[in-house]
Amino acid sequence: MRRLIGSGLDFLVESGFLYLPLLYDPDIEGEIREIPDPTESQEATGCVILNDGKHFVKSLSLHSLVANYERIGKDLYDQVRSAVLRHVAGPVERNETSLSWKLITIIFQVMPYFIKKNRGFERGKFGKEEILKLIAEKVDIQPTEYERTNTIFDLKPIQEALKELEKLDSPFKSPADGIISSSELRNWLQQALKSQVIEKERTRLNNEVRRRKQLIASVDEDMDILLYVAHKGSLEINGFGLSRIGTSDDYLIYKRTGEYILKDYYGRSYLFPDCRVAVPTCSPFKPVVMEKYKHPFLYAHNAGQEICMHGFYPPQQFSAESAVQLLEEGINALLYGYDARRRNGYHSLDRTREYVKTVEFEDYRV
Amino acid sequence: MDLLEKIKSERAQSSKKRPFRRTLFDQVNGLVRTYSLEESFLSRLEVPEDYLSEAKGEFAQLKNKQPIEFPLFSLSAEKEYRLTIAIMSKVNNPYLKFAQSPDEIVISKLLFDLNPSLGAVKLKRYHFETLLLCERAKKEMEDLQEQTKNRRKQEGRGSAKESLGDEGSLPDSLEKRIKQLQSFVAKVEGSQAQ
Repeated sequence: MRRLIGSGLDFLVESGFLYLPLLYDPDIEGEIREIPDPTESQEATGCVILNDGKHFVKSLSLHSLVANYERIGKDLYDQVRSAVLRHVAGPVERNETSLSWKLITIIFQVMPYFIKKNRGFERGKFGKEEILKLIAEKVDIQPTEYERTNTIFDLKPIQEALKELEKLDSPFKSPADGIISSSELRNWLQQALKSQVIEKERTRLNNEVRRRKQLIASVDEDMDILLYVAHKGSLEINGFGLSRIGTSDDYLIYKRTGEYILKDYYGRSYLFPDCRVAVPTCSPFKPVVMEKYKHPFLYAHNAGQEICMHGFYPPQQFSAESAVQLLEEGINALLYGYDARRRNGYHSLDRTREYVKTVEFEDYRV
Repeated sequence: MDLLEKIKSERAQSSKKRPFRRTLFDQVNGLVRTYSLEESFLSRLEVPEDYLSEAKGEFAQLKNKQPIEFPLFSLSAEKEYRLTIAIMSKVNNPYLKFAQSPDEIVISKLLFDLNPSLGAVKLKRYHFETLLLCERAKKEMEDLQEQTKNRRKQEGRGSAKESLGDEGSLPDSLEKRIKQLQSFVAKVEGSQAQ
């Protein structure tokens, strides 16, 4: 399509369809000759139109072209999109620096998976209110008024962005029937994409406002708890925790393994100390051990090492499901992944015959 | 052959794979598009120019064809299509399908007029300019040999003394020219034999 709109050719627009100049070979010319009255060919076949002595063939629906341009011409689409968003994204992007959807996702979706009710017969996951109560119980929250600006509870930037979009709005119109040059087609396409991007962005922001309002309504009085966590940047309850990475909006979500025992080839036991297996909310989505730690699946005896997991393909985007899956995979690898018979991993627990001194586990033997 | 066998053999033949071949239109259209030819090119075909008159004396190098990949099938804009059809109708000779450049399209006409029985291998291998030079060299050689013969006849009629003294000797320039032509033709024919 990019070649088409930069070709310098003249096209024809008729009833919302783009007609391209007919390409010839001897067979096509034969078929064209067989049409008795070329001016009536469109009615007969709906495919070829004679306009000003030139044949044009029916190609694309302009409406469909605009609707699918994001997939077929990503460059131009992104160019138009970034131009539109430049006007509106400023206030929206400034938002969510301390209390974002990522933190909300961790607290309300990931945390209940790892912290379960376990009091007598009472089992199951925590709901939103219960999680907030649990946090309030476990953490000593100071009675302070936390600022709501720059948080997910601040709707003002989104409302401003919606107003900006209203100003930019231009309705979608098909070009007038008749000959259209490639540059005119390009201009029209840009305008059409612009109005499409505005419409999409408006829908997205409206959904966002609705989602946030629902959240605000559901947390209501306990809003301060979330604001406290966001302000502090870290939290740990029952072995599950989160820790903000620097000053960014990303976190390390972790779960403690507790002490565990692995056995070597000869059945001797090794007691491994507790560690925190963590996954970041930003790429690369791979489980790491936060402490300075050694294990057959860790390359060295350092902090922040990735856990060796053969044949595991990390997800591409952060979501509650992927975070839960990654944490489980990481913990399972440490606790149950080592096979004493095969001595898999970077190192083996016992000294092998072809021993190369790397990381030793003799001090863990019990 | 009974009916059953006949039907079987016909079916076997009809189900054979036939190689896809480019048509003459595809090839000429490929040249038109590759070299962005325009209608002015037709004027070169209308005037049968003596294309190689200037280069007549230089037989030094054998010119090979420029390799070109023609499309399997051609769809072109109306202007290019009309030009292709016009070229095909003007240069209506069997050598056209071996042309791989606009120059060769022009020369093909002259070459076919000069020698309509050139083989496909030769036409595929050499630039038409080389083949045209070769044909001309052959013709020139024949003329020169004819001249030599006539000259010797004339000399034979002259005095015995004179003829004994000059027998077999030709002017240096003529001899040099014949050798030059012979070596050029041998080059074309020789490399052809390889």
